[in-house]
Amino acid sequence: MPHIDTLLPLYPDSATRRTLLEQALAQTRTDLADMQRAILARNHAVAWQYVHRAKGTVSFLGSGNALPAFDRLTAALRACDETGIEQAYAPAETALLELESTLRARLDTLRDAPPSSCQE
Amino acid sequence: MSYLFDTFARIRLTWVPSDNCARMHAAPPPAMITSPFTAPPPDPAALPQAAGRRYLLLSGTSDRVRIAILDDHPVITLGVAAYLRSQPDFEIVHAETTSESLANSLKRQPCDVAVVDFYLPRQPWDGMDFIRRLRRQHPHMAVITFSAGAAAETEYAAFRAGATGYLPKSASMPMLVEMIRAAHNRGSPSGFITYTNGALRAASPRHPDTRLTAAEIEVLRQIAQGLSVTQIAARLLRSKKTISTHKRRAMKKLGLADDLTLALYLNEKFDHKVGP
Repeated sequence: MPHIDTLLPLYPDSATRRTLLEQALAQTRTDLADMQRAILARNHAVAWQYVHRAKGTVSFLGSGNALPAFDRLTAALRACDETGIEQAYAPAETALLELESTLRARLDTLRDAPPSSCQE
Repeated sequence: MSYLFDTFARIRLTWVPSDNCARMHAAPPPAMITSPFTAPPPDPAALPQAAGRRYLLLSGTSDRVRIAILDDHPVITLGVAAYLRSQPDFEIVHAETTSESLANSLKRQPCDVAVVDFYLPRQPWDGMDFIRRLRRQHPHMAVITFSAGAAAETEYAAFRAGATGYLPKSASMPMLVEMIRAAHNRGSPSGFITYTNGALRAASPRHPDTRLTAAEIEVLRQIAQGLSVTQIAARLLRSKKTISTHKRRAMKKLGLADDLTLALYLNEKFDHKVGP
């Protein structure tokens, strides 16, 4: 289960949850785009920072299962190991895409929910 | 980064006429694990009506704990700030993603408690260095280290640097709330709050590796981040000779003959456990 499903009930009302989801979705998309761009440009030092940031996003909101992929990608980037980067990049990218899809789905669910008369 | 949070619904405890709504606006259910350090604020719903109103009115003013948050992951800063804002006795004053911006923000507006990430790669200050800096500049502010780094090493390093407590990021957010209240209300400024087996307690952490000093651990941690001796010296405001000595002594104590075995040790000790 992604961590976002554990986190969301902790927030006090649907407005706060919606804002969190919107900001998290925007951040996930930014992380993915930045990581893709830096990896394609073979800018390892910059990519390392983006991978670190993306790992934080996934660790806070996504599934813990994806984290080893980010660790492998970080190690490959540090070692400038092109083969390792190629192998580790796909699962890291998939984890971000899955998280983006999950966040979008949770946001849709929240938007479809009937508004409450008082704060939850 | 503060602009990110301007759009957030700021949960404030203010008096509202309906008892039902008052309960809804009040604090979420008590944290799963209670802190032995401090009693939680009274539940307004449990108080007589007049007393409940008084509490609600007072809690919306200056008696709230002023909090600063620092994490280099925007989503974590965002999520933690949003959650802490829902606590009636908390006021989130700063939510930053760099140590430099937090230091500047605190100069403009001090806080009671700072919740800071320990590992901030590629930033001018992080780890023990940054905690010491905060302690020097804001001696009355409690500093909580909130990190996913190797627990024993990070906790000990935070303790030695003068932090008030250490909480791993694997702990629940209600536990962070408890930790903040405990740190804010701690009896002794020198006390340290640890998180063990799902509960908070006052205790000085044990040295994770009796062979190494805190300074040697810090130098190794910085090397593990990819910094050279020259870069570490600049970062920690020490001479290159001092850093080299720490490195050499640590290697000797650990029985590491050369830089390759040191790299393997660091990879095992820090790399897979470091960050976010």
